[in-house]
Amino acid sequence: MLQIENLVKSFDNKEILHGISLNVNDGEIFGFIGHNGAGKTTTIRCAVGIIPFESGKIHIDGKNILEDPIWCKSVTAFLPDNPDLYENLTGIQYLNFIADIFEMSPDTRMDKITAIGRELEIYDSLGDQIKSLSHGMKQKVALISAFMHDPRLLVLDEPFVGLDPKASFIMKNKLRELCDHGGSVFFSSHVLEVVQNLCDEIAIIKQGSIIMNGKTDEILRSGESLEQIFLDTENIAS
Amino acid sequence: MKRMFILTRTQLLNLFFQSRSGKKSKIPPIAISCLVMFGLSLYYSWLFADMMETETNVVPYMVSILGTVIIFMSGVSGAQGMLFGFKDYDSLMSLPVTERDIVTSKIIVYSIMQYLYSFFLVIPAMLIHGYRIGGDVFYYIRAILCFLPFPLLPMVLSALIGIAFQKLTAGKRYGKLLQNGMTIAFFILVYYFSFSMGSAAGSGEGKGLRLGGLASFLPSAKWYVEGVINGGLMNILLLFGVGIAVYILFILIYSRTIIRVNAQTMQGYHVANFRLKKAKRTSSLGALMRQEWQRYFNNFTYFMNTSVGMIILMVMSVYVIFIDNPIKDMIIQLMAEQGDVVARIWQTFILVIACVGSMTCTTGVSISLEGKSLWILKSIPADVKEIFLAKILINLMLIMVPSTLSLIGLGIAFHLPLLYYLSGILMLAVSALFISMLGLLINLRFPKLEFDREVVVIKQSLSAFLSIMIPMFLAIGIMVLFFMTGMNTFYWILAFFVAADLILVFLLLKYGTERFRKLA
Repeated sequence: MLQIENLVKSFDNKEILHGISLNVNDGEIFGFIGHNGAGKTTTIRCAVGIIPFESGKIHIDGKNILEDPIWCKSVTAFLPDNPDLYENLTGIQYLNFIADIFEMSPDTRMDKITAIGRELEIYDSLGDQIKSLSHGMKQKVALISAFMHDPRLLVLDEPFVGLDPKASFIMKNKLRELCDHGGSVFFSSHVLEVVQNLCDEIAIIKQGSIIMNGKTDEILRSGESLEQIFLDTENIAS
Repeated sequence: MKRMFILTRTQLLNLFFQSRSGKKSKIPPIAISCLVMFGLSLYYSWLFADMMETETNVVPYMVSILGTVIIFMSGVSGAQGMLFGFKDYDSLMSLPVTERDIVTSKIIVYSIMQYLYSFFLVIPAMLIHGYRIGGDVFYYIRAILCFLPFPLLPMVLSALIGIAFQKLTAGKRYGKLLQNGMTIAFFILVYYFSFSMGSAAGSGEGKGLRLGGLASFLPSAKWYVEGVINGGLMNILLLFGVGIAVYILFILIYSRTIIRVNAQTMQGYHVANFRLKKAKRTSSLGALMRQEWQRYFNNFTYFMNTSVGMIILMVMSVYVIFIDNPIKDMIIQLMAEQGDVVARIWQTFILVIACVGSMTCTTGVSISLEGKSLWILKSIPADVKEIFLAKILINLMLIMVPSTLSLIGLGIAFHLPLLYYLSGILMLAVSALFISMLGLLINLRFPKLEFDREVVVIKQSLSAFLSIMIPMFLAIGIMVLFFMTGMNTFYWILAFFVAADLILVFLLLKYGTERFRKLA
């Protein structure tokens, strides 16, 4: 579903990503972990077409993000770590904006927004102005916008930050549900326990390079926890 | 008190030492702009003084009255961005400082901005006037010292009006719409007053005296001029005494109100018993346009900063069309007597409308205003060209609708031929397209995506400055060229805009889309 090959990205002549390669398969939840400033968010932003990159290739469902960005984005949903939405709109105005962009029919969007909104317990607040919502509630509005158009690839940057335990639980179920229907999920997180229990595949990034990548079972084969493995990577030169 | 100074200093540093490169600069970037403004103001004050009879003190009265009006208008619109809705509200309120310290620091920053706006109008003109009447050294000292309390009274009044508007609209669903409506009504009143003032002053001998009489309605303007010119101690004492007393009372009485209204503003509005209604499906271009539209009307400063030209145009058109005045009669008579000037007159109307329209450049900050929400536009499946088109179309609508109404109104009032309407629509369309595309290109070249308040982008960013100044100088150049040359110039100007539009389309498609992709 998502192939990243030899991705190189620089800011002001300083190379941030040094040839990253990753492969997220259909029906797979892929966890992406690393220290602060390791390059997780930059990789994610390149993958969803938010920022350009110097070299390498990114394919979503077989199509190149640089050559066919609109098609790639139409099958993808992205949720940043801190979803800054249009503050002056109401939740429902924002969701209708996204639904229009993804060309959702009035009936489908109504069903989806109602269902996911009720599930995440945000439905009653959708008429409120976004700036009046708490961080977690904004996160929930952004989650509805991500799930409602049935994306084939869901890319999330630190999705569990700010969510209450119930919403976090619901989201994990929805991620699994999306993968069971053939979709894929690629997310970064610092909550290693969630990554360990939820992901089919894991990659660890350090100083702009992938230092470990594989199936979760294989990585955890030694019996160590992901936290211990991650801390051990402190000693690995990138 | 010490903490209030720390707060004020930090906010001033944040306001005046912003640099695009992110590096700290020793000279505030605004200092260069101030020097240029001062130089230009001196030059125009000299030209203005040349036109007026200096012995009757027309210039001092005129600039002090205009200065008061400018403080009134910028004060009401500035209050929304500087006294309310500041994003550091939460962090400031969590600090161990009193509410009064926070509000006082905000009011001081707000006041400094009002001083800046009026300084460049009043001081250079007073200096030039002093030079021309051979004023002694005390004249100059009085002109500068008395300027310190001069803006206080109108500033407090405009802040009070701003507070009243905010109090009535904060936290309400259609609050922004109501706020925009009330402010437009207020501006129209101020314009009406200015028009009446100009008519009442008339021309010829005694104009200065008549203006002095009018200034009695604006006490600080009267005290300032009479204190500076005659050195009247009572006027100077009144200026200082009343100004400072009103300012201090305002801070003492209204600091709590400002904090309370701010909290209300930050909360936004909530809906009880929300029920989802079936929405109509819109095309992605329509959705992008609707989002731009909502942003425009939901952002008071954005709206006011770019709608003033159109408001002036509408008010002037209504004034010319419906109110009998000697200039209108003179033009109609001239057209009846000399048929060869008819075309020249309607061409002037069209160019004036187009030039006023150039003051409405919403695209000049439309990319910057995406700010931290830019990720939304960059991650949705919408073509960059479509995103640009939505921004340009909104700007076109905002210019074309009032401009066309004015064009039609003037055409009816002066019984103008069909060619006027056709040429007018064409000129307005190509010039509005030019302004919209130019603003977008400027903003793509100089975006400001990091900001704590939107007012910083709308009023103080380089892109905002350029998207106002370039069209303004272009408009002046076009008018000068038109008046200095023959009738065919109008069609050359039309051809220039068509050619410029084609070049801008090419630049937007080639360079603009690339710039947008690189923005992060």
